[in-house]
Amino acid sequence: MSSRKIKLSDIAGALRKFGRENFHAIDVFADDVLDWDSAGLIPLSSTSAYGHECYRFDDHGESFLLTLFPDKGVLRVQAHEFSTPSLNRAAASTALLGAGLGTAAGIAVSRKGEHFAAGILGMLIGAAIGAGMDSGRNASTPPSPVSGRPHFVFSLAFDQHAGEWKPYSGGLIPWMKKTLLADAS
Amino acid sequence: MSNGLTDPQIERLILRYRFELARYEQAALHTAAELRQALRSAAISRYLLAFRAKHPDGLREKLERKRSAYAYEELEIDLNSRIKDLSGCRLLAYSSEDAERIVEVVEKHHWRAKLDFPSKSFGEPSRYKAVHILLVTPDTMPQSVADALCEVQVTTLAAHLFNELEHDLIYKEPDGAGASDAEHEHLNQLFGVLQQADRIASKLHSERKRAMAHSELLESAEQLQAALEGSIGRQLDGDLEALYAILSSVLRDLTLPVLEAFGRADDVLAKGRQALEKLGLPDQENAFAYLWGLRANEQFRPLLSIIEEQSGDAFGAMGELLRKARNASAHNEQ
Repeated sequence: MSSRKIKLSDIAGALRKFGRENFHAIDVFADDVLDWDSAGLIPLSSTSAYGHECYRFDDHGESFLLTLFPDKGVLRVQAHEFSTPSLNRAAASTALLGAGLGTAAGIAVSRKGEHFAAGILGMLIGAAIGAGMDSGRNASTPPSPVSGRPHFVFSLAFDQHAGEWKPYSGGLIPWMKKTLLADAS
Repeated sequence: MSNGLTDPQIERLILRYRFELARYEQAALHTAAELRQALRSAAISRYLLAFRAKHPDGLREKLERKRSAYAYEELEIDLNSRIKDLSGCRLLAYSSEDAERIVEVVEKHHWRAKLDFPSKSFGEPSRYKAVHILLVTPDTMPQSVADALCEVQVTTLAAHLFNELEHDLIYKEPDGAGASDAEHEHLNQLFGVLQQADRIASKLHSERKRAMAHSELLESAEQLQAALEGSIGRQLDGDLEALYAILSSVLRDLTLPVLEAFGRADDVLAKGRQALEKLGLPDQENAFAYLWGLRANEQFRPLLSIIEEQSGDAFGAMGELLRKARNASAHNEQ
């Protein structure tokens, strides 16, 4: 397993850096994320349209929705304006949080296989081709998966030295589309 | 000027060549690396590449056979100026179509020597089938290897077999005096069989290309090229590997129908070429003109802007071209 990790704020930072007007979400492997316990995740009582656990976290004054895909070993983060403040922090169960994320991280390690050495990769998710971005933002419920519709993405790698995401042009792009995208079939 | 080489002169040249051998080995090695890179960019992956420096015994044989054609004084100054195949690369394609594409790439390579060099072409009456192109290692390389000529031979695998056997039997003795009637007959039969092999390989090539053009997901530069060429109806040149990397990194499902959501491929290409001409960047290769044509789409442009601004050298020369065209565009708008 790679010892290099990113924080949730790094993931949110990708959406800011590459433009929320271009991309509404980012998928990363769950085992690449550091310090879940101190990340300030708030479990949401409702599940997402994907049928998976959802969490909220705040970063730089913005709210984000984190959806876990334990069977894929992937998590999706998207900027999200919550209609009501979720104050369910009291209900947060460390045990529950740990179990879901632990499962996702374990699956991520096995799905990465020999590609673990490629470092930390991410895939931004943009609009459907020919459509606007409103399907992914500011909705009162998490957006539906966009599988089946051609849409834009953007492959990224996290540069540990620079501490920022950069465009990724290497040979793993087809593999990333099949493995890293949460709603890949 | 003397008339022809004497045996002692040949031996002196061979002795000197032994000391220069490493230079020509290095030139062949570097040229082979350049060719691999250029062919990869052009999405050509099916070929065999061999390279070598001429063996001193081979040079001796050549000098003895053609001794009347050379002047010692000339060779003494620069052996490579007259003997151009001291460094050599050979590219063997599986089909004539692949061979022609390879020739096109090598002829456009920026190492191409600006010399009057008669290329033997495919299908000459002599039945020798190969194209010879001279490259020269640039003067930006270490002095030990800079400015060395390297002869690149391109042919098909089938033609190579015939060329080699004919070379041994006929070429060294132009009247074929050393070969028996039976050898001539077998050579003729072989020629017919290999011509047939070349034809079948071409048919296979066309069929494969047709199948690739209809691949649903385009998962390699070669598949992208086949799909676009099938749509446009002619060959695409340029850095197809980089075009594939860019399109693959921004389109989740890279298929021809998805690409054609931005316009028919020939329209996009024409639009890109026209826009580049207006920017004072004419004569760009098709792969880049196509990408620039896609950039006219409002959804595509922001994504390419990210690549222009933030990719660094991730997309190689294509990324550089995007930045250059973008700067020209910004300059025009001012």
